[in-house]
Amino acid sequence: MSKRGIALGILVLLMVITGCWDQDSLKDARLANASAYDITSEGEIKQTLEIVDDFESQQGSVNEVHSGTGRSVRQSTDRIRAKVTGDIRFFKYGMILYGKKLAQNDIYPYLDVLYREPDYPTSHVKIAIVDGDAGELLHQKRVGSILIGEFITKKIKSLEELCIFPEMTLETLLPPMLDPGQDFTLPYLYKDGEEIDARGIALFHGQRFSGSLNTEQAPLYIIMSGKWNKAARFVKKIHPGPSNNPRNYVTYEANTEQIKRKLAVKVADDGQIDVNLHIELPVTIVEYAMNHLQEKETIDRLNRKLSDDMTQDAEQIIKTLQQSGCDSFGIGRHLIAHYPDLWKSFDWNKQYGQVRFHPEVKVKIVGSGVLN
Amino acid sequence: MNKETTITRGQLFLLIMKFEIGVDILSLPYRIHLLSKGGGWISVFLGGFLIQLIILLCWLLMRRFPSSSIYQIVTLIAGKWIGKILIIAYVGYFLLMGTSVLVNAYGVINRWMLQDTPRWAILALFLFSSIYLVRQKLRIIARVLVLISFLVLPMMVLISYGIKEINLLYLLPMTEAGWPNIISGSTETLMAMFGFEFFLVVFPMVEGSSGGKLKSVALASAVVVMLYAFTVFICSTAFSPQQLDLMPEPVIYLLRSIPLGTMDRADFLFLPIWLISIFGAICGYYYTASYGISYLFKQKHHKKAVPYVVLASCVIAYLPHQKENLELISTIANRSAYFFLMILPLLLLVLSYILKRKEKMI
Repeated sequence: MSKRGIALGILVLLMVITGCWDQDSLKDARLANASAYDITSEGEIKQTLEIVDDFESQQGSVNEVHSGTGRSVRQSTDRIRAKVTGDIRFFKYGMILYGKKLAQNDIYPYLDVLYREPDYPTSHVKIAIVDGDAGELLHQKRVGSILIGEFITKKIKSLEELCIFPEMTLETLLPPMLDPGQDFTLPYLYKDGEEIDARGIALFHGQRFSGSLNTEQAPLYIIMSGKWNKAARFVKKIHPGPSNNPRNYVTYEANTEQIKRKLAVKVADDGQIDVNLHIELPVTIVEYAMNHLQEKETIDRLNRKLSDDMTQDAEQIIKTLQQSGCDSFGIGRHLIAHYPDLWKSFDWNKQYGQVRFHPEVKVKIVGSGVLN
Repeated sequence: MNKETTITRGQLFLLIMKFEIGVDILSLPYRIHLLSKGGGWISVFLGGFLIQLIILLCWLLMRRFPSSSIYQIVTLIAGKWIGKILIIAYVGYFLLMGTSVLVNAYGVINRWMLQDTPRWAILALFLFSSIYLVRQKLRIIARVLVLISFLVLPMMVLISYGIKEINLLYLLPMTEAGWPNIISGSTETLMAMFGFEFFLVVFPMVEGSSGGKLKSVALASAVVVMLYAFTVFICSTAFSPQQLDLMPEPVIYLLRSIPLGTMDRADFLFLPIWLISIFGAICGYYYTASYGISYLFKQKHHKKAVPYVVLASCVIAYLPHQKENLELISTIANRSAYFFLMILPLLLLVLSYILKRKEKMI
C-alpha cells in the first residue's frame, strides 16, 4: 500500500472511530441519585427521582425532586424527563426505594428495565422497602446538610455493617429473586416524623413482600442467614428486676470473624424435612454494669443464659420466616440439589411451613473489653 | 517452500487456540444451560472429545498429502471439475463462517457498547483493518495473531473474577436434564470450537512432522475446552438457573454485575479485549478464503483476492436487518460446518484409499 493510501486510510479510520454517535457528554446529563417507586390509587406506577446538580452551584450540591406516573417504569421516567432539562442518567452508587404497597405485588416487573438496559448501573445500587409512601421520603430533599439520596445510601451501608440490614445490591438481588428455591430479604425503612428510621428487615415470599423482622431480631437473623458483616451487637435483659434499671442488662458484640454456622437439611423417609441450624457465637461484652466477669462461674452462667435466650429468639425468627413463607436460607435450593425427586413431587410454597427447624445458638464470652 | 510463508508449530498452537475462542464464548454458557442445565460442563468435555475425533479425521486426510492444502487435496482426489466446485464450496464456507462471526460480533457491540453507532461504521472498521492485515504474508499474519492470542489471558482473568459469587448448589442435580440432553448439549460446544479448520489450509505451511502438527492442534483444542469448561462452570454457578434462562450473553453480564473496586462495568474492559480477539478469528477465515480463491485462479499470492473476500463478507453482514435473518447466517454456517469438516473429509479420506491417491514422497 502506498504511503498516501495509508494516510488516507488512517484519516478515514479517525473519522469513523471517534464515536460521535455514541457520545454522551457529562455536561448534558442529569444525575439521578435516588429513585422511589409507588403505586397510585389508580394502579399506576409513580416514580420519584432525586436529581442532583453538582456542577452549577458553588455552595455545595443542590437537588430537586420530581415525580411522574406511567403504566411502565420507563414511561414514568419519560414523564419526568419531560419535566426536567437534559437527559436523566442514573448514579452508579445510587439507591432505589419501593413503597410497601407496590412491594406487595410481584416486584420483578418493576425491576425488569433496570436489568435489561446495559446502561443502567446495578452492582453498587442499594434497594430498600419503605413502610408507607416511598416518594414521600425523597420529598424531604435533605437531612441536615446531606442530600436525601446520599443520606439514605449511607444509612443503608452503615446499618449493613451493623448487621441490621441484609447486604444486598440490585445485582445480588436477581439470583434469589428468580430462584424458586430461595427467597430474599431487603432493608425496611419508615418515616418517623422528620426522621428516616430503620424498621427492620422486609421479608419476601417469591417476589412479594410478606412480612418483616424488627431491628432487634435483625442481627441474629443476619448471622443465621450466614451473611454477617463487620459487627453485630445485642442487648439482653439477664437479671430479673425492673426493666428500667440498666444494671439488669448486658450488651455484647459478636466476634464476627470467629462465628461458625452449620446448616444441615435432612429428609426422613416419610418426607418430613428437618433443618438443623447450629451457630457458635463468640462474643465480647461491651456493657455490663453488674460487673462480676472475672469469675468463671458468672461467665458460665451468662453463657448458658445467653445461649438459651438467643436460641429462643432464633426460634421466634424462624417462626416469623415460616409464617411469611420467606425461605431466605435457601432450604428449597438444598432440596433441588440433593432431593430433586422430592422437590418435583410437592408444592414448596405449602410445604415450607411444615419444615421443622432446629436452631441452636451457642454463645461463648471470649472477651470483656479493658475491664474485667 | 519459501521461508517467508511458513509458520512454526508454536505459532500454529496459538493460532488455533485464538481461532477457536470466538464469539461463542460469550453465549456458550447460556446455550449449554438451555439444554443440559447443571451438567453443562460435562457437555463441554464431551464436545471437546468429539472435536478431537474430528481433528484426527481431518489429520488422517492431510497426512496423506503432506505438502497440499485442502484445496489441492480436493482437486487431487475429485478431479479437476468436481474439485473446482468443491474449492468454491470451501471458499464459500470459510467466507460464511467469517461473516457469521462478524455478524455476531456486530450484534454484541451494538447491544452492549455502541448502541447508536450505525452498522456501516462498525463494519467499516473491521473491513479496513482486516484487509490491511490479511494482505500480508502468512508469517506476518501469524505474528500479529500470536500477539493477539495472548489476550486470552486477561479475558480469563476477568472471567475468573466471578469466583467470588459462586454457589455450588446451582450445579446440582448434575444430571437434571438427563443424559440425552447433556449429550446433545455437546454439539453447542462443537459449534463454539469451530476455527480449528484453519489448519486444513495452512497444514503444509507449518514446519515440522505431521505428527507434531497434530499434537499442536489437538493440544490447542484441549486447552480451549478447559477454558470453556471453566467459563461455563463460573457462569452456571454465579447465576441461578432461572436467571441464566434470561441472559443470552452471560459472560458479559457477569462482568457487568461484578464491581471491580470502585469501577463498575468491567464488561467495558472485557469487550475491547474480546473484540481484538474476534478480529483475529475473522482474519483467519478471510485468509483461508482468499487463499482458496487465489488457488482457484492460479495466483501466486493471495493478496489480490483479499479485498473481494472482505468486501463480500461485509456486504453480507450489512444486508439483513431482522434478528432472525442475522441468526440465519450463523445457523447456515454452523450447519454447513458439519458437512465441510466431518462428512466431506471422511468422504475424501475413504476415496483417497479406494482410488489409492496419495502424494508421492520426494
